[in-house]
Amino acid sequence: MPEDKNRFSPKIAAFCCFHSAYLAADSAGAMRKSYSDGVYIIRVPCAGKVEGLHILQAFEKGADGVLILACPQESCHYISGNIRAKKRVDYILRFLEEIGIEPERLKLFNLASNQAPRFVQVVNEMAERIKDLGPSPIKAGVIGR
Amino acid sequence: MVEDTKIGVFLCDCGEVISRNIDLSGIRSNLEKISDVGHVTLSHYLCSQKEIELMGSEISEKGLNRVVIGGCSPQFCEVIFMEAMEKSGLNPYLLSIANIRDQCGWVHPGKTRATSKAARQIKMAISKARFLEPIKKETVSINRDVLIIGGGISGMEAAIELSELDHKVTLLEREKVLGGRLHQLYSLYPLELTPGALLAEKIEAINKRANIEVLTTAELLKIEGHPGNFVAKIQRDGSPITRNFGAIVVATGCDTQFPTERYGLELSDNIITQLQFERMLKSQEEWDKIPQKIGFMLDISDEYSRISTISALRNGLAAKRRFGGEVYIFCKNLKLDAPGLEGLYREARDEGVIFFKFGDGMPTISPAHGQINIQLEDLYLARELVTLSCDLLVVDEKIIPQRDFEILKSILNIDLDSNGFYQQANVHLYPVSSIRKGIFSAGSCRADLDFSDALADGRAAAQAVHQLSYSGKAWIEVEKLVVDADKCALCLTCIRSCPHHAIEVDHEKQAAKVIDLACQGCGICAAECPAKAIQHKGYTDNEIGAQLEFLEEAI
Ligand code: SF4
Ligand code: SF4
Repeated sequence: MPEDKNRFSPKIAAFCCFHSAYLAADSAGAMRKSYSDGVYIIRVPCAGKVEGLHILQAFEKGADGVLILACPQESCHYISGNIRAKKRVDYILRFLEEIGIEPERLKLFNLASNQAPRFVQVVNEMAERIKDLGPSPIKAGVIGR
Repeated sequence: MVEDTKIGVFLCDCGEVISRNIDLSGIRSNLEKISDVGHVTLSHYLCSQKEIELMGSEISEKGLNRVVIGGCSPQFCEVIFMEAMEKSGLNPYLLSIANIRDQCGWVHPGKTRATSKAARQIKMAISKARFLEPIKKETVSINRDVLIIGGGISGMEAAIELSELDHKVTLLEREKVLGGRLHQLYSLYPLELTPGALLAEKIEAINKRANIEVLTTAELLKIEGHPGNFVAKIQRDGSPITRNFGAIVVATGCDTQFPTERYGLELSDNIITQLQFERMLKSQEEWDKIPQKIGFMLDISDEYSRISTISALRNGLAAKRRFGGEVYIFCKNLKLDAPGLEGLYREARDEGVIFFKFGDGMPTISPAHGQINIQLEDLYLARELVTLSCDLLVVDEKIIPQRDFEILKSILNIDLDSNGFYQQANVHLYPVSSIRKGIFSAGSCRADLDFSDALADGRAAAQAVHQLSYSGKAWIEVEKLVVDADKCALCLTCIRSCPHHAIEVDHEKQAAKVIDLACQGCGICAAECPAKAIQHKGYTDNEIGAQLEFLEEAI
């Protein structure tokens, strides 16, 4: 629904690894870099902790988009957590479309704790993408009708 | 929700920093209406001594059994509040923090919007708090004795350092004597000390210390037990020895390999390896075999190697100084990424060593009439084709972990990285830690390190061991990750996916079991378990789900 693009304010669940993205979000704060207030930061010890179930639950509850923010490749705090997270996201992406959710609504990014500007860019770009897509079909009640 | 919750919410203004953009008093009166919120305060500086004490007395007086903070980031304040809770007799894990300063007030302009987001964040934290479960902390005793595998430069250095820190050390060496690659090196330039003198110095230091036991011609056969309490079975001259250790340092060094196929070259009388050249420099009888024109070929294996670069610079300079003649160094693009290397390069150039950079185009190397012809496009000379002939060509080798690393890897149950070195927990943050707690690696078995880096690495590993075991005790969080034995089908997915090898099979219960001291709390096992048999306290399905509920509300 492009006509009310400005009024629609997307809700994004951002699962943030406590060793990277969560700290990047904190320093975005210290730098007073503003981003969309529809972002719900959910602290996880590692992106590899985020289960498929949690991602789907977020959509079910009304998220317009879900972000998984993990440590940089080759530098995961827990060695392979970011790889596990990527595999899981890829797995969910395979059937997201089938259940009527555009795959663009789920994204994984790698970022380091000192990359506050990248954090802001990633969440803002996600918010823009979701604004273009409109509210989640689940929320709009499209699915199942 | 286990029992009736009585939640204390403590809002912090951070010295008016937060209230500038968030209406905390408004939020406060809203929170007071929530039925299981037993207490709400708003303080100026919650992390000040006075406020923390006050928080403690509120907890005990009002019988609060959950604490929710609305303030700054947990990265700054979590530990302080956990301590305060512990002092007042409440389990410190019953804490949930809403980061309304760094992740709200500071980033969302407009008081109305920021206030409504902060209120939501606090409510999310409250919902999570309802599901929090206590985690017991316990101290366990750990052995302070350390096993060091490998008596080369890093192993010896780690042993000396640890012994000075009052740890009993067993230094295991496969060969008959200590020293490793120091025996093969000609010089340690720019260090004045010769390899022999350095070795003698270290051996003397080791012999002086009563708490270092040196076992030569000895090998590790088996490791049992857990971090902090390993049992090692060692074989020495055919007879078995058993010792207990708290930590293990792997310092087995590296080997070199000449990859004939990759280079399309065969070694011969006048194409030799860096190590062979080093040997010639080392023994005076061989000096008359060293010819007038020597070339050093770097980087043709396509992988930059620090050890090879340093050796070429060091040996090239030594040859030039001692024998005069022509010395060429051919390289792709000289990378000088260690302290002192830039100086070494300048010195070599000033002394008359000639450098050729061939960039991405590979040089052609063709032996002819006892000489080696090298043809390359020189980057300095605007890609002009240059042809040179040398009497001797010294080529770099591939640096690989020492020969029996595969065996050691399986004995220790640790991994190798994509370059075949021992995997580090994190290259940047914890370079000397392996993936397993209590096992460390140092020197050229974990990365391409020259001797001065290897020395420093030995000391770093010693410090890391000391940090883990200096007191002989360690804290553990008991069953933070807990396996439900009834649900566990023993599919072993968790054991395979745990990056820290911290899960084992509990044969009695016929279920997986997390070793608390080894677990680092990533939660990967809980996410991977297909039977959902593992819950990670602090991040259980209920705790995460409770926060997601708020996505239902309009913003
Ligand atoms: S993954 Fe789950 S079911 Fe499989 S062994 Fe581990 S705890 Fe048991
Ligand atoms: S949380 Fe699980 S996967 Fe992570 S270190 Fe602990 S036992 Fe291993």
